[in-house]
Amino acid sequence: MKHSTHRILTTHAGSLARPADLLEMVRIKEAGQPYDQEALAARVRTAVAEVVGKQIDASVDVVSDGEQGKPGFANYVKDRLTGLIAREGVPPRVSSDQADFPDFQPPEGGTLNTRRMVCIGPLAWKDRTGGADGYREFSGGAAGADRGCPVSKRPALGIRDGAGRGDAATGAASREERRVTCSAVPTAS
Amino acid sequence: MKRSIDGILTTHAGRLPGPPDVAETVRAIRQDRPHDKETFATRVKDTTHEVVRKQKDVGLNIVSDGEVGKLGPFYNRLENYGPRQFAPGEEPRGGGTPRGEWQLFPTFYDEYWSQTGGSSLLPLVCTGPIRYIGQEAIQTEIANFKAALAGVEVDEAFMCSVSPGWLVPGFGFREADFQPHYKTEEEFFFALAEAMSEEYRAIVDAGFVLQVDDPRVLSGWDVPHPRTGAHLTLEEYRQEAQLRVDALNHALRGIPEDRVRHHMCWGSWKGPHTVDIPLKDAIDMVLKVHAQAFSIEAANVRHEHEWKVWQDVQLPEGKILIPGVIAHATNLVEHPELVADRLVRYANLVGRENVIAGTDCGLGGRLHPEIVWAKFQAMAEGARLATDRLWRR
Repeated sequence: MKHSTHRILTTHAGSLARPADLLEMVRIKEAGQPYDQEALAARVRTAVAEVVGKQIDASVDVVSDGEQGKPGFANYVKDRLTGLIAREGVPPRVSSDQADFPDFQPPEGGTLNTRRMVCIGPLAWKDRTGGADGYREFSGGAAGADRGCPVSKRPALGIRDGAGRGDAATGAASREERRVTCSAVPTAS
Repeated sequence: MKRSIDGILTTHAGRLPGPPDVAETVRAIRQDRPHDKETFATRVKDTTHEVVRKQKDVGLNIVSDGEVGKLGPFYNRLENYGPRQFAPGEEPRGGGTPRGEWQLFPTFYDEYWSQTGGSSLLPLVCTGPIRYIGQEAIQTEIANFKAALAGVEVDEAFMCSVSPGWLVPGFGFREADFQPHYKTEEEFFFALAEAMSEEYRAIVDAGFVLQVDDPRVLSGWDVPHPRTGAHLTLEEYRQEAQLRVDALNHALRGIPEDRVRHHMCWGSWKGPHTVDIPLKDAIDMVLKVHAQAFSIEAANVRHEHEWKVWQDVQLPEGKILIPGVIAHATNLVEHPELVADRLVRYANLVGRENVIAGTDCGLGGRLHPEIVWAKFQAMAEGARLATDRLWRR
């Protein structure tokens, strides 16, 4: 990993704004409506290339893929791990902050799918292509940046099965995704 | 005017959130929809009482009437001054602000102004000699505030009015909008000053501290030159700003300086504010306003760094600085430790007795009421922490 050896390097927290047409495609997919898988994959690739270029133009040193194809920063793992679904009707958590400010309605965040995930079976890595395709484009697109940083999730996403085994199980599956991630990342600019 | 002798005092920029029914009636009145005048008058009176109580309860020292029943637009209080339609080819002003930034963030501003209605604001035109006609309105506000303060012990009470400069949307007002009634921009501004001075005196005569709201002295920077269409140069801006300061001082003549505080910010719209005029380019002119205290936006990501201006600029003897330590720009509630850090920083530069904790702008109407009152609690707590540090308690 690069350090700020000669000057302060800049980076950010990962997710970046998606173009409107891609957002719409992801929205359709998340709604369970028919969509063109190839067209979506192609648009994700061009969007990643665009967003990497924009980061370089804006002088970001350590860039990300912008999580362009994901419906949100966390719930995408249901597409990559078996045993997880986003289920309708699961009551949302109410934080104490929300309880303290009951009438305040914050504006919608950037996440398209805010349904809570639940564990309905054994967890395993099911789809290497979802991540790897984007990363391949990212590897090429990140040329010129100091270092790329595709975003992957640590195990604790608040997913629980009944026996409290969720974190350990998603941990094992997510390690596999990280292995794929790391092999796709350029090691130097 | 009270100052922070035994500890850091707290105040804010004036406007406070009122209940939804009052806000709805204000909207109805502005849109000429029918409403029950008597019920509204009673609700405003009661609400003023509520907001005074609430300010006291959250620990604010210097309180306002909250401007809960102010009907606006401000030109309702002036005769022969009001909106006109756009001339052919004339660009909408977007609320008088901010032209250069609109070019930098065109899609954002198109969306923002269409959501907030800012781009539909009409230009103003003078149609005859300007005269103050708000006597009844200001006396009602004064009476409501006095009634609300009865039996409530506060350190001091203030009421807001607007500067002559604020009454003109954007620097570089078109001559056609004040001629032939006034020959020059200077004559026009001094006529506005003369008119507004009546409201200022009414507030001070009633025993309140007068706060003059004057954001345009800063936000007027980002406008096109009225004749060339180019961005104002710093010299052109300063000439325009100086004219507004001179007009305000004309309006304040004869009013003791220690009854007046001046408030300015860079405009409260929630835009990027990347082209705001730096404080260092305007502060010398603003400090010449005949006021004892100066309330300045200083608690948000775009202007917080300007505390450093006070490393080079001397706060004149006897003056008070009211830096914003609470922002209207974010729903996040400032941590009291941050409020204290901000206050201590200012106290170390200008003297603890010369600092009063304030807000960047009026919070009413700009944040959810629940958040407004939580922010005030944080400010009061932060001021207590700062007092502990500065007075070594």
